[in-house]
Formats: sequence, C-alpha cells, structure tokens
Amino acid sequence: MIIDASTDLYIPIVTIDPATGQAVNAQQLPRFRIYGSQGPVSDGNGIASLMESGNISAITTGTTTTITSNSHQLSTGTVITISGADANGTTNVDGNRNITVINANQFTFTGVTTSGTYSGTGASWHTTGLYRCLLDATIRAALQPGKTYFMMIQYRFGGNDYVNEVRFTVAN
Amino acid sequence: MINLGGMMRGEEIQVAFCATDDLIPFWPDEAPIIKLFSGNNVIYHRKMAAEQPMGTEGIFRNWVFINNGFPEEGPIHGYIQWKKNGNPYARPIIGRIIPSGSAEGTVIAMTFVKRPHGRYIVWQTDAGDIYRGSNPRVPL
Repeated sequence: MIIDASTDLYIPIVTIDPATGQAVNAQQLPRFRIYGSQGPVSDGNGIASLMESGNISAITTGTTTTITSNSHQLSTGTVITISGADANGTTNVDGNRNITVINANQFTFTGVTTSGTYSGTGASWHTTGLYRCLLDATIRAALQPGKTYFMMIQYRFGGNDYVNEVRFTVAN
Repeated sequence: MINLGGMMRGEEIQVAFCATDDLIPFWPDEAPIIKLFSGNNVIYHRKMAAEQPMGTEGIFRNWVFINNGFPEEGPIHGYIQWKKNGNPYARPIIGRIIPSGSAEGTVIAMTFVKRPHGRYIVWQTDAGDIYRGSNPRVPL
C-alpha cells in the first residue's frame, strides 16, 4: 500500500490467535520495527497503542451489568475487553463482553451475573485485539519517498510470540 | 488489511469483505461493525449489509459516502469486527483522503450573472443543489 508520510498516520493491526483466527488481546502492547532495503530503519520502531479505549466511571452490577464511560462512541454488538474492575470492587465484570449501547455514555452486557461495588476508578475498556502503530514525525523523517518498507509487528499471546507484517511504499 | 486506497470527499466508495473463520466463509452471529477513524476521531460507524451473490456465505458490503465528517485530506484507519459464537474476529482498514474533493458534489454548470445592481455567479453541483455567490476575482 502507498502511504503519505507528510502527516502522522496510524497503521492498524489485529492481534490474532493463529490456532483459532480469533482476535485476542496481546499480553502486552505489540512492538513494531520498520525495515528498508538496507535493514532496520533508524528510529523506525515503537510500541503500538490501543485502537480505541475508555475509562469506566461507574458500574451497576447484576444479571444485566451497566457500564458508564463518557463519550464511549461504541455501538451495539461490539466486543470489548473490560479490565481493572474486579480489582476495584466488582466480581465477573472483567473479560470480553458483547455490549448493548444504551446512550452516548452508557452500555450494558448480559450473559454473566456480576456483583460487588465498583470503587469508581481503575477500570477501563478497549476493543478486543485491536491496536495501531503511530508513524510520528521522528519515524516519518527516516522514511524516504518512493521507497518500500516492511513493518514487523510483534505481539505475545499464550506465552508465544507472533509477527504481523505490513508492507508499504512512501508516496513521492 | 483492507486498503481502501485514495478517495476524495464527495465520492461514494464500496467496502466489501468476507467474514471468515480459519479462512472458511461463514455468516457471523450478527452484522459486522465497520468503524473508521481520522486520528482519534470516529468518522464513520455502521453495521454492514449482507450480500448473497450466488449463495456465497459471509459476504458483506457497504457503500460509504465520503462526507464532511471525513478530513479534507490525510490518512484514515479503522476496523471491521464480527463475531462467531460470541468470539470476536477483526480486520484492520486503512485509506487516505485526497484533497480537493467536495461533499457538496462536483460542479457541473456555472454562469456569471450581471445585473444592474449586482454581479454574481450561479453554479450547480451533481448533488442537485444550486448555489449563488460572488467570484472574488471579479471586482464588485
């Protein structure tokens, strides 16, 4: 693919369990390195970030669990991963959840009965297995127009390391 | 990776994909979700429509109008997410907006109008709208 290196851009990636093909969360944020025809590009490396995420300010537990996360911008049917809630007062909230949006600031999930009282901080959500690599000014400055590069993205899942490859050409 | 390539405001592009599990097409639990970002801003967010050409399973397609919610120019990225038995699958998307497009449509006709008390131009776009304004290059 051709990229325009005149401005910051994100390369999106999905971390996959090769055994199932499912999107899974990496054990830690994936790392990336860019290679040119002469080997690794100087400054051409970094750590991916979550593609979308949000903090959770309130949780109502029960057979239907209601999550409050301001301006979440999610839609019904999205699978997200919630973490940090069970360490802050709740039980069974953490994990992959198929959500139903109630309004711009709240969504719910069912299928598991949750309990406990959330302390109000420490929990967050992100879409499962979705990350992005930022090609910032430092990295873009190291890329030459017209040249083709390989980006190797390494992630760890289930104790094993896996690699995604992205090939791109910098627009003239 | 789904590469949408270059596109301009005012264009309507197709995004098509096949939901697979271990490379085998299947109908997911429900309609996949497509979401596009410009930086951190969500610019497009929809469920995808199923398509059944010749009974092929798992094919979905959306027509995406590049409206004013998209940037004037620059890269976009995003994902399509679908589920089977509640388990998530996803595919990343990338593309770029080429400058000089207009979500109001392409100008298909323009004329300069000279009245006793005014001069202006009138133009029509292929969206069916008619506009009137002054040409800054012509002194009033």
